[in-house]
Amino acid sequence: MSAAWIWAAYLVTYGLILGYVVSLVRRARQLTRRGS
Amino acid sequence: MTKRILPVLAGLALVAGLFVALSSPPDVLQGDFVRILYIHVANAWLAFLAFGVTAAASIGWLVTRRAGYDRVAASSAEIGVLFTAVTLFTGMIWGKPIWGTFWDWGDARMASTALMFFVYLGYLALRRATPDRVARARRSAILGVIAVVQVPLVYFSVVLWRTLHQGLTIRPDSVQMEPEMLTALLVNVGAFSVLYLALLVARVRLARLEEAMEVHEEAPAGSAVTAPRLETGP
Repeated sequence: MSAAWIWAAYLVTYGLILGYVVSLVRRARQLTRRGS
Repeated sequence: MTKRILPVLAGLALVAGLFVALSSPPDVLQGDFVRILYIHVANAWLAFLAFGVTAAASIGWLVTRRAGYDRVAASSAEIGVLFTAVTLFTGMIWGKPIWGTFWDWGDARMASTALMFFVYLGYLALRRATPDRVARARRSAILGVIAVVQVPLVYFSVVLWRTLHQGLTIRPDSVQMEPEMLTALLVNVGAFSVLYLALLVARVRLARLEEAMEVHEEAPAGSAVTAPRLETGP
């Protein structure tokens, strides 16, 4: 049971960070495309 | 150069942090749940650092009016909000099996952290709601300096008000942790510090790009169009 809580915490942590990184990359690409 | 090195370093550091956190010994009282605290505490400290950087850069902008300080302040606040969200979520996930509840508004640390999260969300909303660049920088710099008073308030909330959250485990005069657990915590603090730096560099670069686009779009219609050369007769 404890493993499920621990994995949930790690998934939330790395999921949020990955989501933020993806949003930064997408926004940068979008702006670069618009600028060119 | 830093464009590639920092993200790679951050990725490697996070893998090392994950390995150390999952291979460290279980706690006598909490068992394996202590592994959640390595990321929870690391993210909380990094959120404090991020908001501290926002305040310092805000002072920098108020003194010098250089746009670079505004970019750093805004970027650091955004990353701080991300780290605070991770802190809140991991704290809730840890709290349910250990305290029997996801959330308790009566707890000083939880309530003050939630308040800090919403104040910095407000900081980001304020920036989005102000189209003029100078007004946006001024307003957010003032808020960035005022809002940072919450950092010591959140940190010392467990000392000022004895509620559900445990007191300070790491103090200048004593560290109440086993060396292996302290190592796991410090490795994760180091890993998330590198991640913070990598995200800050990337976000500042993106902010510069956004500003360049803003200037481009603000230019009056036709200003980028050069007048056609009129053909002169033979």
